[in-house]
Amino acid sequence: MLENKKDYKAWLYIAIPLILLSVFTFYPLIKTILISFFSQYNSITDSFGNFFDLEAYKTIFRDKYFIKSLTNTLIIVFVSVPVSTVLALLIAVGLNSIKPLQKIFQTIFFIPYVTNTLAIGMVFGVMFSHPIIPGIAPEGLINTLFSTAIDWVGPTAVAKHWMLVVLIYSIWNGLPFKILVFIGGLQNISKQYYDAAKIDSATPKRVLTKITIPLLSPMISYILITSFIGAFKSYEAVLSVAGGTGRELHRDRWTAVAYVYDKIGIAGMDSNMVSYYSRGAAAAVVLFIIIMIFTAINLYASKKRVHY
Amino acid sequence: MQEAKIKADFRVNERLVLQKTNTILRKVVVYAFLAVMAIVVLIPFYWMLNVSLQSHNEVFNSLSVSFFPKEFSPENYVKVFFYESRSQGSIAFPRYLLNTGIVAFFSTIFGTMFSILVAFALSRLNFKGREAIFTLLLATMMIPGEMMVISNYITVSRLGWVNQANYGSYLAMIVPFMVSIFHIYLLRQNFKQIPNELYYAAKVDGCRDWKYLWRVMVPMAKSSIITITILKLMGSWNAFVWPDIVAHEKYKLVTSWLRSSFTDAEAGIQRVLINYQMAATVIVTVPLLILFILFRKYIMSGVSRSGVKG
Amino acid sequence: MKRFIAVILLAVFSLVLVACGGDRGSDVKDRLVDWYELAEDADYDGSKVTITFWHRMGQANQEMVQKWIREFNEIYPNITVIEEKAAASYDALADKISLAITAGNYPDIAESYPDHIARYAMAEKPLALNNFINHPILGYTEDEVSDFLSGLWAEGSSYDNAGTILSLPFTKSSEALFYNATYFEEHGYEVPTTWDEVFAIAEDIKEREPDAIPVGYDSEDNLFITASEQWKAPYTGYNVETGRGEVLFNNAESKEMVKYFKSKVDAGLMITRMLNGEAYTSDIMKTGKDLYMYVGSTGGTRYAYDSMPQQVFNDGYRVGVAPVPVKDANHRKQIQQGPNINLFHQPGKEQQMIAAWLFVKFMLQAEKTAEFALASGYAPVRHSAYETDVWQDYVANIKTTEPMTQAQATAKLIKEAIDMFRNNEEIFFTSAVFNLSSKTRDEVGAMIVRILAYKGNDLDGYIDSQYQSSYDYIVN
Repeated sequence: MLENKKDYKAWLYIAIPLILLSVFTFYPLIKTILISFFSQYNSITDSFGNFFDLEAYKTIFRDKYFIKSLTNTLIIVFVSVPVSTVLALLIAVGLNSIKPLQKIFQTIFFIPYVTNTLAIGMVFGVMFSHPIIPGIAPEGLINTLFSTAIDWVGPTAVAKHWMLVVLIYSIWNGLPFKILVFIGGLQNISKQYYDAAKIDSATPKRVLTKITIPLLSPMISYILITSFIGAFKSYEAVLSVAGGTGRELHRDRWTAVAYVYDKIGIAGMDSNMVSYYSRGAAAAVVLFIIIMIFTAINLYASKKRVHY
Repeated sequence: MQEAKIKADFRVNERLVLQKTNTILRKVVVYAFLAVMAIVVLIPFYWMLNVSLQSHNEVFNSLSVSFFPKEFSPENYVKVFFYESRSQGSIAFPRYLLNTGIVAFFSTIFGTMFSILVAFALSRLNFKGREAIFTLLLATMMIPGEMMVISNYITVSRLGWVNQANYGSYLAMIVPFMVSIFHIYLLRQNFKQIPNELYYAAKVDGCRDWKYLWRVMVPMAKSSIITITILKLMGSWNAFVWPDIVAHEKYKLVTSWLRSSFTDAEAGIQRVLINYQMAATVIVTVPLLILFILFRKYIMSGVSRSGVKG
Repeated sequence: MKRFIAVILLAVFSLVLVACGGDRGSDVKDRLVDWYELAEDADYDGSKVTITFWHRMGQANQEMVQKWIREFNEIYPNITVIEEKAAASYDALADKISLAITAGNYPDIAESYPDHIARYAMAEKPLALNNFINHPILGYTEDEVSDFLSGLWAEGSSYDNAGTILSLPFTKSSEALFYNATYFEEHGYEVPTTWDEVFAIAEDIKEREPDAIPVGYDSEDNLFITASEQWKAPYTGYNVETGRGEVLFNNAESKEMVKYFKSKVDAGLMITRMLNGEAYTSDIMKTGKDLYMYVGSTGGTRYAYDSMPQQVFNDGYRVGVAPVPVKDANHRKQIQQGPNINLFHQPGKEQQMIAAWLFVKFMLQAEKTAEFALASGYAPVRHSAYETDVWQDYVANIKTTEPMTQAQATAKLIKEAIDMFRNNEEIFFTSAVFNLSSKTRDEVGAMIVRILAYKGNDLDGYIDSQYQSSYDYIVN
């Protein structure tokens, strides 16, 4: 009896938020998954059509731009996250070991976190600008500093250039949060460990690898998981840096999310009578599954290597 | 005997000196590294400020970029503040600021409230289905928000909130994303760290759940609550895609202003007015910066706490 | 037991998924939407109705529409017209309307481009106007129909093969060659009519001023589409057999056309907006040097003088206007642009649709279209607009002799641009409209920019690969 009453009360606590979530998160999610299986879904009349099959999925795996968007996304994930994490770790360790100026440095490193992704992306675009016809406009900051005349992010930029700028931006953007979590973790490490190390006159390198990192491993794992998930969903970053002034991103520069957005925005069917919207939905589901698998792997790995 | 001691002392001294130089060297290396990184972090901001203070002439007519404004133009900021973009229906910044303030205020109040309630239920109360709900919430954290935009647009449209020149626009921007799963997760982790014994002791004293929540748990989790409040504020401040499509022109947010203005013609320039854009970016960034500096302690401890227990 | 059932369910589910196949049908119909039928004596019965009109006009034009609504209400006091600027760009407007259709709260009247109507037609929402136009009481007489500029009127029925009329021209523009008339006179240049003539002049200028880039073209996608039509290179079309639109630009004539312009860009004779750092090429001409001819929209005529340095104007800078240069003087073609107006089907609400129709007719009256044109720089859509008082007064007040102020020079130029438009109505063309047409347009615009900016050694190979990848992208 008591159990039921308790249950009832608990549900009251979560009732309203749960309803909101159901309407605005669960319902759209389920609907999108369903749409991915109805390859002639009509987005204007909101009718599912008569074809319940896997055509949407087959189509996207034959679409080389989907594959390309996945590749772009994976590059961002596997380069920006590890580099950003390692840098953040080094910075956090460095910050932790100095007393004066520590607060100032901390503030500086945290500034990117409070800024608007789109806005700073635009600034990066301005920094890396380049006039297509020389003499029309000046070279941007980077080209001037390095005496180069490369089109970094403009319409004729090649993959290795704009991807480099996107990666730099992603790493830059991801530093503050990581640094913060690491500092918090570092401060929680009992001094005893370091004192013991000093007695054993361990080198700084050994201290780092044998003590600091293992003790920080729960934080590292948390950072990696959340950062990877975030990186898989990259879109605004690429759009603001390499997207030009339009709201559109060129298809060679698509991330998985950009692909979804593009397809969802086209009404009607392609030449194989598969609805574009269904293709977008299928791509979104595939992305979701990839993220889930990846997170599962991450969790499993952290179970093995994280020390509490 | 004395000689041996002097020799030993000398060697100890030697080692100490060596250690000291090593330490100093290390400190120098660390400072140098941090300084370089700090500069790298700051370059975009410097450039933002730099361009924002340059005159039209300097930006559009010169053949090379200026590292420091040669024609110092702080009046850009005044112009930008009152700028009425023709394509945006002649609405100026103060109005966007008001809209963003209203949306941020209500999103934060209600969002934080709900986060507290749900986190409490998930961490402290035992009820059937608790684990299922929690897993469900965790899974949804992995979903790209884009999947839900069109569906939500239709829902919100059917509710009559889309493109309304009244509070409907506000509702459309606030309600759908009021509940933030990430914040609930953060708070739940923090709540879980509060010892069970406190709860049982309170129960024995006849304290009801509701009272326990607000009298004990909330004060103890103060830093996390402040964190999620600030995170929600930042989220409202920086939101772009959703508000831009659901709100009526007069009700749009600061990010729309940033993104879509400054592409008009002015004084014969039909290009994107990047100096105005950079000034606008500075204006948009400064409030959050101030917020951060004021509440730095709470934000930093709240965020770092989130990574402690799995 | 539970697991067993789950497995069985999963198996069935997968089987259903994989097995369902077969003929996927086609989305082609004879008539894109059914033609709404009106009774012979149908008319507005005076009841109270409210209609909504969604557009994306700027403030000045919006105020004109509001004025028209007040005038309309003097005749029809019971029809409430709500006009609303629903978006900042036409694409955003189309997106909003599409979503509104899904949500069920779409407007009665809207500004639209043909691609947008193709989208709305997927839900059969655009109202077929054939029976309205031919209606004995509510419609247009034959004379009235031919009063509309023929090329513009024809666009309204380009949606299918059955002649369904889904839109009427609203505010139209085309492109024109704007040139520095003073400079031309100084150096004895005749106004060019073909591209070869244009570049002959450009080469002459270049010899005199090596730093100049004399020719500008602002809209790259228009360049591609117009030049394709002039070079007789297929771009898009209607396949009469399948009834579907097709993308046809991946051919040799098109590549020849692009190489022609590429050679001019490489020789420093021509520049486009994207190559100019996204600044309009008219801006360069307004400095009085470096650029002396550009092709721009007639809707943007005023920008030939707007916001220019006063000194340059005072030194005698004056602009002339001419039709867009062509490849072959016997095959003159240039593009028509500008939004149309369309109505929506509101099932069961005939009075509402009739009221909307009446308002649209009101807005398309000769005086109104003249009024709008003169304020906005777009061209009137009816021949009789040029005989209205509004127009005659404007013409009478134009100063044609020096000295003149910037405003007077602008007024003169606008009239000349509109005259050019109306005197050349038979050379306008439009491209086929189908669900991929706007995607195609965007893509060829981006593609030609990449080709024009290409600095490598294998131009032919690059062009081939660009065309192929663009085509693949659009069609998939």
